[in-house]
Amino acid sequence: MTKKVWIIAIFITAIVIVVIFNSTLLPRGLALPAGRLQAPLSSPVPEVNNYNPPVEVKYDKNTDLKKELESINPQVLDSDFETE
Amino acid sequence: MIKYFLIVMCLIFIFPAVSLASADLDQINQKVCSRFDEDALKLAAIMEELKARKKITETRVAYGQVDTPIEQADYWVNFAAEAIAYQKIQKYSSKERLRSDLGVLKNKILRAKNEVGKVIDD
Repeated sequence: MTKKVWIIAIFITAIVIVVIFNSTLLPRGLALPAGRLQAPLSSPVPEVNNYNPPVEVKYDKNTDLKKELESINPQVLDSDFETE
Repeated sequence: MIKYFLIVMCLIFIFPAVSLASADLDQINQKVCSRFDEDALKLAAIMEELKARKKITETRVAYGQVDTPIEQADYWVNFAAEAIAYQKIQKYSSKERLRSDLGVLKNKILRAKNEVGKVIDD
């Protein structure tokens, strides 16, 4: 009996800790900070991520296209892979 | 009993560590792809301006069948842009694999740059 209780307790502890690490697993209502009220949602609302529209690049007849082309230098840097 | 406890505790720490590592790689992938996006946009803008100067009004070629250097350059610029879009949606668990794929993508952009360079020189 004690062994079974231990196993169940460890299992529940593991699930709680995993859920805490990954808060996206929490149901929406539980993810709110304490004290804040929210009206129940009648229908799902799409999450709007921060949308950055693509930067428009346009040249005119006075542009030195060769110079612009030379400025294009795609690189994969070591600093890209360094964690902050 | 202690053995089971240790196994579970190991799983508790490994599982979030793996998911966090994948999230980091995804961030790196998006950051580098955004930078490559700017390069692809510049290449496309150069091609648009080149065609305007040469008074070419044809639509861009997407499926090969390129007959002229400008169509060839257009094709490779398109190819690079699509490769970047494809790379953005990939998910990685290995840093080396991500680095390798980004290197391949870089070469595709350089190929497009090379083709555009040929047209500018004409």
